[in-house]
Amino acid sequence: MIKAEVSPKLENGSVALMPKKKSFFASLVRQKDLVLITLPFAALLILFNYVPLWGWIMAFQNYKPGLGIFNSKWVGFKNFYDLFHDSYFFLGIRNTLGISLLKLVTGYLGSITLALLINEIKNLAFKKTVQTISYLPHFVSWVVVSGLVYTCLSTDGGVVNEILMKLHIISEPFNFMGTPKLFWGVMAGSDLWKEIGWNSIIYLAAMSGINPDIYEAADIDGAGRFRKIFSITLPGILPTIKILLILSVGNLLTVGFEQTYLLSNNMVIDYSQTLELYVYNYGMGMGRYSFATAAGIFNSVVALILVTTFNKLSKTISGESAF
Amino acid sequence: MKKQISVIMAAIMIASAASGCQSPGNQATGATSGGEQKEIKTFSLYTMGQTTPLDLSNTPVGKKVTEITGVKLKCDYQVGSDEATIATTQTASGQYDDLLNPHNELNVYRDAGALVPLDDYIEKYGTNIKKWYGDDLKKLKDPETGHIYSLSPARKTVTPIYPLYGFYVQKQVLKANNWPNKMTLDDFFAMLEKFAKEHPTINGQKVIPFASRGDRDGSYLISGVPALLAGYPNTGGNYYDADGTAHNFSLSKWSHDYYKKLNEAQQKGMIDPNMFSQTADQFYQNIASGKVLAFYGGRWEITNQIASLENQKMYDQVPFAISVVFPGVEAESYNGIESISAGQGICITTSCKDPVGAFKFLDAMCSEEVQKLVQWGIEGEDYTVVDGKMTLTEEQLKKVDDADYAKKQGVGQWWNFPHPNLDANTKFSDGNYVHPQNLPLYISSHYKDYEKEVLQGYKVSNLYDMLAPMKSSKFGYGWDISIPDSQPELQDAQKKSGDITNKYLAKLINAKAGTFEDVWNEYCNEMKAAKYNSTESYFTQQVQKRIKEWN
Amino acid sequence: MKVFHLHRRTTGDVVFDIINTIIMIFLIIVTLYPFWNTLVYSLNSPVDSLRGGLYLWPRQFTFSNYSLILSEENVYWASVVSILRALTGSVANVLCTVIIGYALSQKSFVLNKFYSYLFVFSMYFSGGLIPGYFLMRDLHLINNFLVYILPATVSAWNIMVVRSYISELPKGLIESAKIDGASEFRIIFSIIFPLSMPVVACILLFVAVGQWNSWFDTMLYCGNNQSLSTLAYELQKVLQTSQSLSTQSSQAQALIPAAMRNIVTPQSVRATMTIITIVPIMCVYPFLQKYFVNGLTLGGVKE
Repeated sequence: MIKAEVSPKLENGSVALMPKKKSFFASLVRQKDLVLITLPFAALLILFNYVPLWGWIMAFQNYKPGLGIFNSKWVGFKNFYDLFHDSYFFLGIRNTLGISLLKLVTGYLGSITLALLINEIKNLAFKKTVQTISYLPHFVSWVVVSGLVYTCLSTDGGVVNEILMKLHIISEPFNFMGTPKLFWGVMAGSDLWKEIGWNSIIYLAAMSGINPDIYEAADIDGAGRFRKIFSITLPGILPTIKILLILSVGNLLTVGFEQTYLLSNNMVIDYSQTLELYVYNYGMGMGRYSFATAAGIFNSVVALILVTTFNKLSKTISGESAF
Repeated sequence: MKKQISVIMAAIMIASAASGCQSPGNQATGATSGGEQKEIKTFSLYTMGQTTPLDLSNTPVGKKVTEITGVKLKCDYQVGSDEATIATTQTASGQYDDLLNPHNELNVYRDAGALVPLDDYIEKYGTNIKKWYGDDLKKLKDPETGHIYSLSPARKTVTPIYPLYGFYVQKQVLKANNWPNKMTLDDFFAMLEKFAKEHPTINGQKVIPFASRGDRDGSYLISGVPALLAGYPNTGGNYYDADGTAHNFSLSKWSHDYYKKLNEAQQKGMIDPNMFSQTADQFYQNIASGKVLAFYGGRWEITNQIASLENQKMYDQVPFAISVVFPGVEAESYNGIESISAGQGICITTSCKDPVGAFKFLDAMCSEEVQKLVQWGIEGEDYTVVDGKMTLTEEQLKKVDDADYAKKQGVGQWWNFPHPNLDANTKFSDGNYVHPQNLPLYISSHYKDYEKEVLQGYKVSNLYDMLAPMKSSKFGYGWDISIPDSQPELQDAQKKSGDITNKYLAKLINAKAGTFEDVWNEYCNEMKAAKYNSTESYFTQQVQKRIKEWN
Repeated sequence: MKVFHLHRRTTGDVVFDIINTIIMIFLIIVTLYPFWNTLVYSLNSPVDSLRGGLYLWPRQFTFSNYSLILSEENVYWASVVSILRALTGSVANVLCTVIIGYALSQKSFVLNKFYSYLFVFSMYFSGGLIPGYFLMRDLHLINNFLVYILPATVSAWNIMVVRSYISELPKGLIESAKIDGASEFRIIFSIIFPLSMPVVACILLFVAVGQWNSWFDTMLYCGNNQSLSTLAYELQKVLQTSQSLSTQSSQAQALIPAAMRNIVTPQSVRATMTIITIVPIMCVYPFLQKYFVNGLTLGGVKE
């Protein structure tokens, strides 16, 4: 924010001194290059992301695709009423938030740590190998990964149970997939396994942008490894970390339909019924398009509140914000 | 950057060179085929669900079908498992393929006015259809509109050589117990317990005396069993009195007793400990590895697993179906009901510019000439005619069981189109069977040596005969009645009670010693709160309507 | 580079490196396993795979899974479409991302505030399936290659990431260019792009992979147009035809005749599909990887 006040003066002192009222149009004209070059993309965004929002009126109807929006029955807030008066909905919210927060914490810490550690590898070939292999699971679909999770955690010769038993940590196989309270952990853990390498790429990119001169200066000052990590690398990628955190707070209500659907089972249903699963099962799955739309609107509103709040919070605390 | 681009360009060139060799199939369809003397009509066909998503018209049989009917099909099909989404977008857009197999989503398309009623066409042009469907036509009327939208293929199937459903038990267990059948639940589990004690491992793996699918989509294989144990056929979540009154058996004594028995067995360590915490794939893997002594299920689900067991030469571990009943139950109905089921098959959509032509094609599919082609294949290749009788040579016999060959040849892949009943009692006008698998020759030569031992053990000539034959029913399958969108409360009650049952099956069967009754009461309370039986009156009404109209 | 570090290595450094190497080797094993296991399944006989219990090596080695998929004629043209799609899509997206990202990094830009809200909020709003479909139809994008590109050109997430990256670049460079009278185009293409290569390579990769893997839009918008079909979609189709009906159990399916069931098991096909999808990505990967692994640092480090 501070920079924003400084830069206009640097660019063109005389314009910045002009009366405030005219300054908007004046700067619009002055910055016409930038305005013109960005306009087409803004138009695309509005076209593909905002124009379809007219569909939200379907949430107030009992929309039938065959009848279309003009002939479907209007039902007012009934879909919202149904949504908020279902105990499954609140169970869904609890599970969604639980899984999301756990994923957020493990996912962030995991991929940032991994990026830091990869960055510390000195042998370039080894560095590239680690980096290449770590992102591979990203391409293996959830169907396959969930099968592997089930096999590895199985009580019937699953590798995790075998290892724990060999180490005498447990005396008989433990049914991980059948323990409701562990389900959130299974979700976060499997997500970490699959995405840690992929998510760390963006931090590696951010690290590459750090000016190498700073490291050299630190070396000359005799700074140790940890010192460099904590006072150069980490601060260097902090803006990226912050922006990603702010943006993902808005996604707290989505945990990944496919993953949840494939990893959950009848034993853990109380902890696995997420909002997405609930909305699919009782919405689209039953041909209730309007109900699903209502849930979508709820989702958007919550996301908006979360993001703006968090953004404001971030702005007050660290001066960094997404918008 | 330059290097990258050149690599990518090279990749494109390789790929395009590779595809250049084989010209894309669809280019030929439009222009070139018009040059022949007979005009070929092309209809597009969209198939939902997971059946025959094949390029039917380009198979050898398909080409002959085109010659006879003058129709070429351009087949497309749903990808992924989300039928609801596809049905929603298609109906919203109002654009359809000419022909559509809507699988489970017929109601959505019907409500959108996407389907052409066939009643008048059947009257005017349906000579073959009327001949083969006859009395069944009145059963095909849609319960909401009273029109016929599709000529359902879900009717009498090929006279089976294996039972449909049953308690599947490994051959070695049956043999060791002198080929038992129609056992009580107690005897059944006693048998498994004894065998597992004597044979704790199979090929070094610990045996699982009893297992079942317990995943989300498979738990009906547990919750549906109680009515079967009581002798009723599978009619969904309800059983029906003679007058058509529906009774939801979720909380019946039968269910209580069956789950309690499973719970007892679980406490003895006889039930697959992962039953509810494994995927369907893992369950089938256990079957294919031969360590599961018994389970409830259908033979059609495990054909690949049996092939795998045969491949490992583990013939003793191949499971065979027997019946299990509650004490005092005389007649069991594991083989279910023989009926026609409305709401399935190929429909003509309102986007079709030539519905009459499309219907004439569907009718032509039902003609004897085409039926011989699609069920039997090409004369000389797939079957032989001796003195007017269609029969199979040694080599052709093998082809009948070869699903890969069948797909390539295009034979036996037209089930979704209108067709006659396929059982052994239905014959062409020249006296031939409608399906090669009805030939006594096929049946007698089909069984492998290890199966013949079972046949001898049970003193039957057909494994299907080990269980009571399919019954006819006054109202059909029952499970094909779905609650319409106009009754959202009932839909909700049905969905919720299903979810609750899924959850409690695991809790009930895994209950610790002495806590079963508490869990059961908890289950009952939740089900009652969800008004689980509020749907009974709707099912009663529908079944009674069917009884009145069909008979 | 090694020499530069060696004479300063302390015991702490050595211990750190050893522990780090151990952690990385553990990570390699853990993350390679899903891929390796998939490879094993793809090279094992499908009937044998049904037994499960495949871990490190195939039991019955075969290429039949690959020949099954690669014998589908449609796969080849679809790969070309997929490559074009990934290429055009990622280039368009990166262009948009850097331009908007740059604009938003300029705090003095008049539309900064407006754009920020506009782009960020777009991430959390969705009109849903039906309005989306209608829009594509009204824009005549159904059965049109552009349906893959246009809606995916603007990605708010990418923009925000790039914006934060550009904000961290030395301000002096841009300002002195402006004083020299360089146009915005010049600044973007001759200063911002080269300096942002690590993050640009990263975004390029994300978008290209997303384009490469996506099949749902192909089905929805170009499903009946073979010439616009993509590899991912064709592979899904193969998977569909091999799906043994067993996992989708329902009563009505018991009636379907045996000849229409499938011998190939979905596990094997799925595994083979995964490998076929990954291989091209792995070929292109090193070219992008060098930007964010070696990064700009490479130039700065004395060899």
